[in-house]
Amino acid sequence: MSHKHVSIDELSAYLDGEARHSTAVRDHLQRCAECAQRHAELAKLSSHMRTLPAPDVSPAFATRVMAAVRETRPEPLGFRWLRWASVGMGVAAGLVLAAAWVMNRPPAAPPAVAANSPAHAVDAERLMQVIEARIAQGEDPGAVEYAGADWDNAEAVPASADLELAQLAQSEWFDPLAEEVESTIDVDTMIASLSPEQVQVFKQLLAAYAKEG
Amino acid sequence: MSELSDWQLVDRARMGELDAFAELVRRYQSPLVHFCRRMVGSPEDAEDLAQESFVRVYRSLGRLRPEAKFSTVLFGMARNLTLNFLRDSERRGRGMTDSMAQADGTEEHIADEAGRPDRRARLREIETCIEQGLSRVSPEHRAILILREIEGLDYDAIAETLKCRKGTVKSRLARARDQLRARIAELGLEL
Repeated sequence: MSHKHVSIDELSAYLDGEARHSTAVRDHLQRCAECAQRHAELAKLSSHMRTLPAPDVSPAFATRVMAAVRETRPEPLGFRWLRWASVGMGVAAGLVLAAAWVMNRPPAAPPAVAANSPAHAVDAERLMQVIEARIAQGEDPGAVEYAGADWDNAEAVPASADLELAQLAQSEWFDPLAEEVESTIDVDTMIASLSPEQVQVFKQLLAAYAKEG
Repeated sequence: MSELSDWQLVDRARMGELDAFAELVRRYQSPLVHFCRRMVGSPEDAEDLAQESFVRVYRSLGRLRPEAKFSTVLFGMARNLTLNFLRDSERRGRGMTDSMAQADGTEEHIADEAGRPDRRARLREIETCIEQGLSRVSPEHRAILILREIEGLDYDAIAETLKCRKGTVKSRLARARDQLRARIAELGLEL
């Protein structure tokens, strides 16, 4: 019978009392020195992190925050449609960047996509007009620079990609702090983290967007 | 004011009671600045980002959903702002911020302090070691590690903060821990 080790996911969850099969993990750790050592290392790391001292906050910090707060005001609930429209523009811009990246990705690492990919259905010209208008309105043109970034050497965060795609598909980007959160969403990180399989899903989303748009 | 729940304070702040928001600031300033500090390194940048997080959340009070925890909204905002800050710093060629960059030269410092028997030196040694390791993991991984290990958020709260599924928290946190352990080992440091 082969000796299977506990996965890092399960070991980490066990550490937090979140393992699905905690009894089995506990039993395994008693038998397997390798897993027990790995678990001990993670536990030590976790324990040390919890002892890190909180940095001192400047005595005037709260005063500074409240001074800044007094100079702003909560946004009225009206004009929500306007904010959502701006979110839509943001998503559109992200999709354009994604499309540009997907279509221009070097052939050395091509996603397994058929030649008649739905991405070809995207009206790139129209979408480019959207992003150009967005930039003309004074929004961050730096986002565009990312279309030429070194994607292949970007650090992959695969776990987040499916999440981000799901969020995009469900339009969860529109909430809860629509304008504030949307303006800080890191589309670039999302794109950089896509696996070839996820690229396919993204292409389908792009096609759906183009069809609906 | 201090006996009110976060949401009672949010309701009052929505009605224009600035004292209510000031209480929220007092309540969360320390953990929020701590989060930002571990994310970006520099104490000054950390306070600026924490301040901006409070201001943006204040501006959006009218749109907060009652089912959301105020703390997760706040940390979610801080996480987005710090990630953007780090990305912009990298674009400007600044890379790691000041104090994290300083941590690069701390191996000798660690060696010096390791010889001392006192506990403070040992704690400082551990802190420096973890700081160096954290500065070398991806910002996304750093964020989830800080939320879990330093801020003590449970998986549900992290999922709400990062707007992801609990299963994603589990796998991302595992990878983050593994990455941190590996980075510290690569540096030849020992906890």
